[in-house]
Amino acid sequence: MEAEDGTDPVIAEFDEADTPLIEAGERFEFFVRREGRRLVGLAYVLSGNRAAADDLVQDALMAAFRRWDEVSRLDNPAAWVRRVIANRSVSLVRRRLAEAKGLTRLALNRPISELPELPSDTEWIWREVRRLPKRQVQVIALRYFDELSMSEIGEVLGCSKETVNSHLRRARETLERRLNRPRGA
Amino acid sequence: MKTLEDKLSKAGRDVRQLADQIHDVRNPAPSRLGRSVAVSVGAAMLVAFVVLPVLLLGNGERTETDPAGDPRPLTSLYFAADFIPDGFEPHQALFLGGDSLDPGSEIATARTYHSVDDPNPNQFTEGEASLSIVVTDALADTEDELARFDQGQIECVDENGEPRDREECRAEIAQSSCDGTEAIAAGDVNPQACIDEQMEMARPEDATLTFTQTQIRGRPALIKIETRSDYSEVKVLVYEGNGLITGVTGHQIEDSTVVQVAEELRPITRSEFEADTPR
Repeated sequence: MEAEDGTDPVIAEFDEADTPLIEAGERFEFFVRREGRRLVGLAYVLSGNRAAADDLVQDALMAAFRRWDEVSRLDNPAAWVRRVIANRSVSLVRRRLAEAKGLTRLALNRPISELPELPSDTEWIWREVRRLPKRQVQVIALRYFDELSMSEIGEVLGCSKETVNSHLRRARETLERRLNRPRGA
Repeated sequence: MKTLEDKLSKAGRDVRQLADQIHDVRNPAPSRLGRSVAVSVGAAMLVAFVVLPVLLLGNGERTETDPAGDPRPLTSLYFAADFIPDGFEPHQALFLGGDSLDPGSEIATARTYHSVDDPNPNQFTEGEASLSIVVTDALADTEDELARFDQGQIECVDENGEPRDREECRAEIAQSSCDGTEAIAAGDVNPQACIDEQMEMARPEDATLTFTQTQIRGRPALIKIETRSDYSEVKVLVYEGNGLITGVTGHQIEDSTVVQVAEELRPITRSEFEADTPR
């Protein structure tokens, strides 16, 4: 089936990195290429560690690949992978494991996804975000990094949008206080 | 003065912009085989110092036994292709680890080859020629999968995403006719069950699948050819014995060439595998 402009719909979709639509049964390679960078960014804001972010994404993608026949046919495979990343990033054991694996890989000079330096105020904001309760961290990351709607966040985290709203409101209240203090106070 | 909303929006935008600059994320499934495992170089490092490299005989039987007393013979995940098709060159050789919390759970290796004319071998593009060899310890893979399930890392949901009975899900993993707990107890997968399982898998709607059951190097094997309008994939699965499954997958390569690669796979030592690993 071709798109209206005559292009292959899968390729056309791939060219539009921001398009959330994923074809049922899409090939895993395309999914990785389209979603990979954003997933690393999400894992980074959640974990605060670049090496860990890379491994969290690798682990989540591998979890998806293992069941790709099923996952690719979900309404939103990207939400499924984001949920895996969100859940694993807040598990201290997994985070530490991922960090260790990442460091080992760095020592071996293996290529990992390199995130350039962030502005210091941005680093500070995300550090404060990560001090919040884990559900609130996930909601803030999905809202402000991934720009998801309340319903989409609910889909990723497996809860209602009312619950998402509640987490978001509490997170904002806390951040309002913390981010309005002088840094380091 | 910036509002909280402004600050958070900018913080999100900053990371998005940086994320868009990073290199392509590595596809953790370089083989494009049906079942694989997570890349874990850390796990590989551990195993490098604790597992003796072993050789397999040509028929897949092991020559050594596990010094730790494991009744299951050692598994060699290291193979080299004596035949590399014209126009291809080695790209990566990877150790693939399990996804459970055991950092030493190395359960597969992968070697990938790319066309010498490929300007960007780190990316796979539809229609481009590629070749990969993945050797999987299917028994360790199953053990890892069960461990991950028990750790809650594998979701147990139906096709609508609704939770299912966990015992039922676990039983499905454990009772796989190809490589479930029965295979673990037996110390090998049942090649015919694995072949049957492959052939029973749901057929992609827009593809034609052709299966040929055969023998490669005297071992049971399956040649699976998937033809679509825009690309073709040839996969040769060889059931090497002791739970080892080698898979050679080619895109845009003659079927006979992929089979020849599988025919001329040769077990090597771990050190040989490492020496052959491009850094």
